[in-house]
Amino acid sequence: MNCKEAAECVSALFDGEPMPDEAARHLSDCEECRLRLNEYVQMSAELRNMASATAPQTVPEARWRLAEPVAPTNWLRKWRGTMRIPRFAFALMLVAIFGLSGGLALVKARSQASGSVLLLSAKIPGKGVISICTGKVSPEQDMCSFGQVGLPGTLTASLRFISREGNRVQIGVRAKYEPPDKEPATTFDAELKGVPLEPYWMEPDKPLNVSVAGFGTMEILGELRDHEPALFPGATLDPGPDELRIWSPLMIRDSQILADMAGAFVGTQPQESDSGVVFYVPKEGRFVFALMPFEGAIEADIQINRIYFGQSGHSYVVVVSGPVARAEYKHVWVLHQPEWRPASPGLSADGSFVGRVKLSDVLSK
Amino acid sequence: MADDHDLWERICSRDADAFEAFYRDNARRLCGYLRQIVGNAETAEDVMQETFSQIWRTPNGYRAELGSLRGYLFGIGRKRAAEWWRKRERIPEEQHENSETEVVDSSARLLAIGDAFSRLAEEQRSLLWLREVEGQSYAELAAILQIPVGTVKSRLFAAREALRRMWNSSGKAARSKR
Repeated sequence: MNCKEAAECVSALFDGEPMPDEAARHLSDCEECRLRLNEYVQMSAELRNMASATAPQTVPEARWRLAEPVAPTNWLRKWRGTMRIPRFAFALMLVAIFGLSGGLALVKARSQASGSVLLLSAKIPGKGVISICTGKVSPEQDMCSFGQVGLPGTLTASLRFISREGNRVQIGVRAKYEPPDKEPATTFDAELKGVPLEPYWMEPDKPLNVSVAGFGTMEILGELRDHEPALFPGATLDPGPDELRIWSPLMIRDSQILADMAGAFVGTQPQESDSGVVFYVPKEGRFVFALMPFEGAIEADIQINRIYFGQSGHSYVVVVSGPVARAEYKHVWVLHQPEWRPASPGLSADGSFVGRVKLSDVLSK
Repeated sequence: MADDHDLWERICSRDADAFEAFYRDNARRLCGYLRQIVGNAETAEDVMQETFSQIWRTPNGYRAELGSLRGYLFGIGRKRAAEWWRKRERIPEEQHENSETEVVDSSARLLAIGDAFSRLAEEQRSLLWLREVEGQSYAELAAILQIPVGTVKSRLFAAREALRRMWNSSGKAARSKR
């Protein structure tokens, strides 16, 4: 081991971290590394001296008492009291669009208000769970469809319930993969036209692998419930860490309602460093929101379930049905692209939608 | 952690006495840290006050299993300091002129370490300050800076080396006078 290789271990040793034997042997024989350790000791002492010299000598007078406390449950009560979204609308959050441009995933489903409920989700390798659909266990209705681009081609699929025997359910799957050089159709129905419905028996809670020609395998996960979930299965009212979440958004410009998407839902991917959400409004283009600044975006204020911003002499407010982000976030950044129009399958320029997007994709176009 | 958990429970239940104690224990230390980030004492105190006010107004998000309450406080403070920089539309690296003039102790060696320290990137200053002055563990540093624990070790090393280079180049003359 040479000095260059041992140097990081010297730093760790100074922090009291364990050191590999080889590095310890090197250090015992190496003057240069001992000098480095000695300098770390000196620098540390100097920094602490500096801290003592520059820290306030007295505790500054507290101003936190001036801050109006917000009781943790008040907003929740208020939210419940003023919620105008009917319960079925939350099931229709499944009429949601996850991701645009960089990773399109569309989900559509209809639900019934009573009876046993089958929840289905599709897991795409490398993309995670991209769709969840729910519906009464009856064959005449309830189908969910989704598309995933960037695989690098496009996978389009629809799932529906066929029959049930005890805890086993039979589902029908239609799936098609288009390579990246082929343009997918503009609607799911058109894309899947002529694709046969393949029946599969599955036990909910056990993954079902479905082969798709030209693509590989996608995993279908199922769950039987005795009721239709009010929120997504496993969803909590509080957004996740670093998550920006938009539920049932209503966008108002000055005093005019631009778009009302009761039931729609989208959230950023906190584990992705450049995840944002979009809100597309017909004739107005798209609004891209993110919890961090990005090129061209303006700063907006978050007040629990509202986003306020001003642009071109207009004031905008986006009202949503739950907290936009965790309380430590007071601001969100917004980019308005008035000329943008959707060009992905299943999306119409004449209808509002929300989606998740990578900021790098937004800025590269 | 048990004490931190109890204290947090009291803060969440609007116990002003508990929060006052929390403030008294940490205000000066947080101020000292923020001063290294924002570059001057007045702004550091403002950001410190905003940080405590935010926690009092909406106590939210502390998880005892991820680290100490002090670490959580410093993490919030760092975010508020970052917001302050964004509003100023300046990058933190521009600050060292201010920092240099802000050093209270006029001795040459403190000026030397202060000058070298102020030239580091913001994350390096945070890492070194929280480790050397505040004694935060690797796990706590990971939580505050929102980076993996494994990355803390390598970035601390990089920060120390950067400081050592600058200290040696700018501070040798000063130290030789000791």
